[in-house]
Amino acid sequence: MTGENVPGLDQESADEIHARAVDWLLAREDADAWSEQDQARLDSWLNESSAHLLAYWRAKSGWRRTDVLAAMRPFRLQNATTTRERWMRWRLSIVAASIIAVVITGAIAAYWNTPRYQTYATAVGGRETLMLGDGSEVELNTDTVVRVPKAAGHRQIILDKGEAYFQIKHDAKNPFVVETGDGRVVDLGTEFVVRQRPYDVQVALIKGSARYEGAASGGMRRSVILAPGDVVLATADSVSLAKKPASDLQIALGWRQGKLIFRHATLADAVAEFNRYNDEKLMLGDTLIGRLEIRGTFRTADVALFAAMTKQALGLQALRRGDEIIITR
Amino acid sequence: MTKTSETGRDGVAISRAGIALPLPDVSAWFVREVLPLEPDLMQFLRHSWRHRSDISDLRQDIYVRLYEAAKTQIPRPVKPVIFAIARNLLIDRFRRERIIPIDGVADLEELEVASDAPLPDRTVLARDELRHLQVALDKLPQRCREAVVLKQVEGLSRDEIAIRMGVSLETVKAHLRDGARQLIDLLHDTSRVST
Repeated sequence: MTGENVPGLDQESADEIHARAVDWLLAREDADAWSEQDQARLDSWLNESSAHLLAYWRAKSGWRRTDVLAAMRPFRLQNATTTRERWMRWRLSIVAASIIAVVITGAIAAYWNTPRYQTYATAVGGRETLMLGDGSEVELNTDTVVRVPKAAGHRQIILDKGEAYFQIKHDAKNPFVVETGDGRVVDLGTEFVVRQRPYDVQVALIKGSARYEGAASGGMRRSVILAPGDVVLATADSVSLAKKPASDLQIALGWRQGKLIFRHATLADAVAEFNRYNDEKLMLGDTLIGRLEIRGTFRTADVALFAAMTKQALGLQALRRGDEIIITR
Repeated sequence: MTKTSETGRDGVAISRAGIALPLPDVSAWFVREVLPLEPDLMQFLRHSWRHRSDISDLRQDIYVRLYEAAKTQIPRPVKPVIFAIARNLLIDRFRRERIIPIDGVADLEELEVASDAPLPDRTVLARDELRHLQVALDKLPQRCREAVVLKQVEGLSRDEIAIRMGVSLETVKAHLRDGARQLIDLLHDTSRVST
């Protein structure tokens, strides 16, 4: 038993053969560029020696093991456009509401020092429904601040912070307007949800029709008419529009039932969601575990249950430190 | 754990005579039963052979010898056989190089014990696999790791990776190739990766 049954071994080291096997492997994964001729060349290379064949098997089985890395793919990366990416992130982060008794903090407070408006706010984990004089309803999600004009007949709401679901009684002569930072949503007979964040605003239209008007510049406002399923994402200098299936929008509105619903959510997104609704904050020990994918439906207050689930389903550790729960490997 | 069932898919046309088993079966056997022994084998080789640069060649020779034997009959259990082959190969080498392996002899004696050790647990939990991958990835040079992560984690094409990394397609290919080579070695030879 010597190395003589291995042709070319003296010229070609095991490392070189391994390198060549990896080249074949990567080339073959590029399905578009892979031709019959390539396959024939690979076959003949594999037939040249057992060392080639074994190196190829070995390389392939090792490389296949890295396929599980795809399980950690951040969900947004599966979507093509920026708008969709941002919407998906938002969808995951608006899925929310609370079973905690509604707390109105600062209600009827002159918090904004603008006596023309009544301010309503919900605490972290809070949820409240406002019945307006015209029969319209506004559901405030966690950590949300809105201002409503005191004067009757002013069909307007200012969303200063957070998220709210609007079911508006339509009146063509006196349209309802939701002011969101620089832009606004003008009701054309509709149900929609608006979320205001520090750097952007999202509007998703559920039913009916509405018009979104961007920031005024030079006395003009860019506007877009929304149909059900349309989602607007507006930043200080851009407005983009995406379309989502109704089922996705309903999942995103789980908060109206006090639920967080995750479908293909990453752990990082789920943690960010829970943190919107709870003073007890979840923290991730490292960024890699943040990419793990989770599914499930939770009550927004069920932080501890969620932490326990990550322990059970993902094999992670959950440690309580003060009012934080730290999730680590 | 991994798609070992696919490993025979390349279905190399068998032109050699005297093969008792269809090649895909040998392939599946090699992947499922031989490759998991690589950490033990490599540890043994590194311990017994002083020239580090020869180790992967030795490993390859052992695999080839084992494979040639398996083409007539698959040895079961494989662990005593693969270590017997390793021992014979080392003895050949010692003779050829006129080395009196003082340490090596002792190791060869201990080999019988080692080959009775339980097989590595092949049903590695998914989380161990991920952790193991992470440790192996961390050992790659930074640019190689970046390219591999963009391909395998984020599923980007090589063209997209080139754009993302701001380098040429050729550079991406080189990074991927280097990264994949090292990663595959690290994944098989877990004795070099301490988690």
